[in-house]
Amino acid sequence: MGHDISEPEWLEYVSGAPPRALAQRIESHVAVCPECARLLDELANWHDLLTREGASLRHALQLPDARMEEFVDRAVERVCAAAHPRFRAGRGRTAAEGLFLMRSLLEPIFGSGTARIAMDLAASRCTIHPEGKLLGGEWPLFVRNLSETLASICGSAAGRLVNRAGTCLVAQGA
Amino acid sequence: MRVRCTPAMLWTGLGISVLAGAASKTLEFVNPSAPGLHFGINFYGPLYIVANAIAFHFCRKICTDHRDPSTMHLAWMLMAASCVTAIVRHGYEWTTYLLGWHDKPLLASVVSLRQIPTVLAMVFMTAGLVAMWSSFAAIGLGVRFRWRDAILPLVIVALAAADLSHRQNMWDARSAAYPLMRYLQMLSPVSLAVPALLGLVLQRISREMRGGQFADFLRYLVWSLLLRLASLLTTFSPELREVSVIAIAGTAAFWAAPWLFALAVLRRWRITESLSEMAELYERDPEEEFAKLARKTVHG
Repeated sequence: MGHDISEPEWLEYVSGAPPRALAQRIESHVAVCPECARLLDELANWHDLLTREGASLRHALQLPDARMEEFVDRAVERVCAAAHPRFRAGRGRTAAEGLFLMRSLLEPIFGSGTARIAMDLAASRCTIHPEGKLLGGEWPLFVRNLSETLASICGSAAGRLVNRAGTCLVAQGA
Repeated sequence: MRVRCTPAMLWTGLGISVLAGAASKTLEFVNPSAPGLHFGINFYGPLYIVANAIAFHFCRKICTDHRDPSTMHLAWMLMAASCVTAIVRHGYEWTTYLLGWHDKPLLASVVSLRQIPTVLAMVFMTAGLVAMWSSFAAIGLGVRFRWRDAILPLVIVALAAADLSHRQNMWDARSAAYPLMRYLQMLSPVSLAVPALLGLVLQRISREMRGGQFADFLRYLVWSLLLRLASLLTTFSPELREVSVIAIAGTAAFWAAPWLFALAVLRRWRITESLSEMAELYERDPEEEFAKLARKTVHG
């Protein structure tokens, strides 16, 4: 069985609210694929780390800004350290982090449904990898696809924002 | 001096329109021979012109933000064309009213020529909405429907059919010289129902978007289209026209509809403005912006 699970689908599964069909597909694949089972473990750890740090931050609201910044920085460091090398984009930030930040950027404007659809569409057009997963090297193509998709419904301003933010996500790690 | 149009200004315009529409209709019930009543009833014309001019301005701006040629560019061009034809219609109607032609039966046919821009405006609007839907459909939005989605379209078809049954009460049915104008006005419930039906497709898209500013814009657009159709029903139906509360509410809705459309377009333009500002921020200091974004996401 091939690894026919895209990166946005992994993220959706790990976030805990996947559609039933997706959950079944991933679970049946993970049962027979040790590599993806390991990946799922790592992603789950990654998600737990973020959730725990988020909870710590929320409980620490009375802390001064500097202390809170420190919490966030530590969370990001631990997430980077826990990430699977297959998802590494550029030289610092992972593609998973990039997708996570991109989704966070788009959701308030276009809604979570549009963000998901547009990102899935952009990822599906990155046909370089035979398994259909979004790898670091495909990030620029993914960003270009996403920019074109959103520009088609919301104009060039949307395309420009995705391009600039997407390019920075890779360039930052460089 | 440049005046920046804000949602508050348009809400004020909408509020004034609603109050003026409701007041003129109320006065018609209370004292049909009140001086200035006829002027008040027809004053929606200038207000429609202002609202459509504002909507046209923003439709053009949004249009320039879309790649030419593209389906969404075409959609906003058609919407802008719809605003212009609506301005022509109301300009013509208001001028003929000021010239006193509305009171002269012999000139009823000349006045009825307003049906040409009226129908054109709705045709442009319909074509614009189809183009807008096809842009969303290309990325997979607005292509899946459920059975319960059929309920509101059925209500709209029923409303349009009810409007059609009252076509003999339509003002331009008196047009003797131009039978075409009579037919065009008879078609008006259909020409309003089709955009309202398309509006429901956009409403479905706004639900599929699951929140966000773009979905808000679509909801405003849908409400403006539904309001036009609903107000037409109360205008044409003699039974409803006699019920004061419904007639007043219908008139207020009729006066409000173009302002709601202008508000929808302004909301859409605001999204473009905010996207441009964000793009500049990410260009200037991406590190800072991503840190802010990460913090906002972690805080929920």
